[in-house]
Amino acid sequence: MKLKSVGLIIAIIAIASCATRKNTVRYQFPSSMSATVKADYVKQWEKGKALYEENCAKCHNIKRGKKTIIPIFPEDKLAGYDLRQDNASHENSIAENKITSEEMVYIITFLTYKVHTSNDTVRDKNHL
Amino acid sequence: MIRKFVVIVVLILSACWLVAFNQSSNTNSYQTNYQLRIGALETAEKQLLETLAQTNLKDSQQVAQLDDAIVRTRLTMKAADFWLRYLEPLAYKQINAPLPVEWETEVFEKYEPPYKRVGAGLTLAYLHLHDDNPNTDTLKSLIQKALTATNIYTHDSITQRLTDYHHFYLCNRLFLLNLAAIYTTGFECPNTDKVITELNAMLHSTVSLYQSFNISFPNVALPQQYLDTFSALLKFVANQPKDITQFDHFHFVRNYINPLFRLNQQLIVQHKVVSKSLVDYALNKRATDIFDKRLYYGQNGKGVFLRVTDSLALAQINELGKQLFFDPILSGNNKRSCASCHKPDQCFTDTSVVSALQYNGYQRLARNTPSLLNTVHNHLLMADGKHYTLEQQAEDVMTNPHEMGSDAKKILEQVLSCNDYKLALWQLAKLTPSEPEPNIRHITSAIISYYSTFSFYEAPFDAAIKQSVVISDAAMRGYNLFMGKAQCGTCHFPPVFNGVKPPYVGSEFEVLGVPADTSYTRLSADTGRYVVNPAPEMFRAFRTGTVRNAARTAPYMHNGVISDMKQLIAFYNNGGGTGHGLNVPNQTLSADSLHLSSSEQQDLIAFINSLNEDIPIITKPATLPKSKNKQLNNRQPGGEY
Repeated sequence: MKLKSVGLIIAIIAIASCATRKNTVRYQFPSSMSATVKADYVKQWEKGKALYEENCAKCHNIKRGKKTIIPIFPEDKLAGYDLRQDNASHENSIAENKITSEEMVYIITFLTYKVHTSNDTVRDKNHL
Repeated sequence: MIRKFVVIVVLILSACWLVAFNQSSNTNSYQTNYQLRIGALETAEKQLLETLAQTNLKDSQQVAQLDDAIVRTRLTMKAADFWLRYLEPLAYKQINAPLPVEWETEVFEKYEPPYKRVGAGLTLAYLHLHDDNPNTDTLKSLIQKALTATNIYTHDSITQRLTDYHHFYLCNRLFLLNLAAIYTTGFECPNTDKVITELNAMLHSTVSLYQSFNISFPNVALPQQYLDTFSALLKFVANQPKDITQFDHFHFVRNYINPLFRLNQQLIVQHKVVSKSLVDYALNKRATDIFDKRLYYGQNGKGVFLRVTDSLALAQINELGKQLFFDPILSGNNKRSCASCHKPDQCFTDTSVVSALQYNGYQRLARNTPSLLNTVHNHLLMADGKHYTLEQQAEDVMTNPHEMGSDAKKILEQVLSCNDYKLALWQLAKLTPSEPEPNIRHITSAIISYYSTFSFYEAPFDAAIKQSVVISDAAMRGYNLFMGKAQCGTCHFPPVFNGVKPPYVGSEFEVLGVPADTSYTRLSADTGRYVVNPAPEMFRAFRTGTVRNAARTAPYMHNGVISDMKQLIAFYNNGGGTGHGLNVPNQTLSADSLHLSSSEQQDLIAFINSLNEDIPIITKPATLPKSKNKQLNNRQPGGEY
């Protein structure tokens, strides 16, 4: 009986931690930002996150055991046209006919305001 | 006095050469060539300023000498144009701007308010010199700005780019596009007698430019086939009459410029050329041809489905888009569909009315319904350019109380009340992770995806200029008139013949002086672009539309005031609003008659007819998806009015 309940507790903790891990990527906006602006940024950030997963994660995310780490990108590299021309594969993979400039802004918003946890202090492999 | 002048010139020239040769030890032939030409332009501009200082503008003989000096300086500029225009487009606008003020909304900044660019340089100096009251200070300022801008091209940030070959093929691409669309129309050469002279000089100086490139970059050199075609081009131009109105634009582009462009595109891909310049933003490296409809990227014609490549899914999106296009469920009263005004069998416009009925069913809208064909090849949309995405435009029509009179929430609810739509939208939403649930964007995106597929069909003219398929002599003559004597090509640029000019990053607006009625008693009250950009230059300015399918999209102009092609040509032939006696102080169309004979007008029409694209026949869906809401089920495919 005791064993069963311990098992149950462990299972709950495991599920809970899985669920939280899924949501470990969070945002942090400057405190000076007004509530309405922030609400707008949160929407953009969520879209940017989905777009990042769809378009960037495959090449940029780093596997560490079972963990997937979104690397830290240098801020000065997060600019529209330079980003498109930055490397030969970007020229095709994130051209204007693959990602609109509006979507690019969302992705940059996501990467800029993503909270860097201790897990993902890894810098992007292209910008070591 | 003259001796002193000569001494100065010799001193400057020798200084220039010294600089060039001093550096030749650690630079290459190509870079030396560049330095010499920029140096020569600076010298010529300095000389021009000296000549100006000694000119009495009241003395016609001295004015004639100054005039000559401007012409000579322009030739020096043309010898460097290949680089100037590409490497620093903003500085170029200080050296050779065609207009005193230009408002620009470039594709990479279209979310921002338009930028004002004040022009300067040789063209404006020439125009000012020929004004009624030229003054020395204005001329001096225009030329001094050109000199200051020319100096920018000696800065390291620019000259560094000459150390590798990448910029060369991109400069060359722009150069060839300008040969097809700009240099030969006289758009930037105020003295029409000199267009051919300048063209010849520019082409000759390009030969040595190419040679120096091939010496310095032997591994990525221009192949012999390219150089041979270029020599043939030189011969062709040398044999053309000096009168620009007699220039054979058709064979110039078909036999030389387009083949050279094709080769250059191949070389760009082959040598993996990388762009570092926003000038290349819209241009497509994979376009095979100047008249390839993928030459530049205008609009996202797929909206939220941009990254869908699966052909089955694309077919599903188009099918959904077609159903929605004909479905009045998108309107407030279930009686109007997109097809109510954009009739697919009439090139997606309505040729039967001057402007469409309003939502209320009895008043008329202020503007003529634009054709949806080739809208995807624009950067800004609508006659006033107020929209910059097709999705935004589609939603605006559906929610506009004068047009379809619905709202975004109601549209989504009503569409999702139909099971067929609901299933399709949920399935398609799986393809759009950033928009995981069906929303208005999926609806507008399906609609624009559907009609944008019709913007990639070609016309007999395309086959003629690309693959040498035979076209009538009249159409060929018409093209030459279009690009030459009739001056249409100074605003309607190949390949789409709309207001998107090389390097294809913006949409142009023009003031034509369109009347309210054909008796020309008053101007149309519509202020056009001014509503979006309240600048004096933009008062009554409208976005330049495409000439493709124009023969089938009457009536014309923003208000549909001109009912047929003959009237339209007469409007331009007689100098637009000003030419018809209306007061249009900011008209950008020349007020002078074009002096087109009636046979020339017929040739022009033959060319315009050759731009009728082979659009497939579209049939209306027989039925529309059933809604749970029974009241919606008596709606008609295509709507009622």
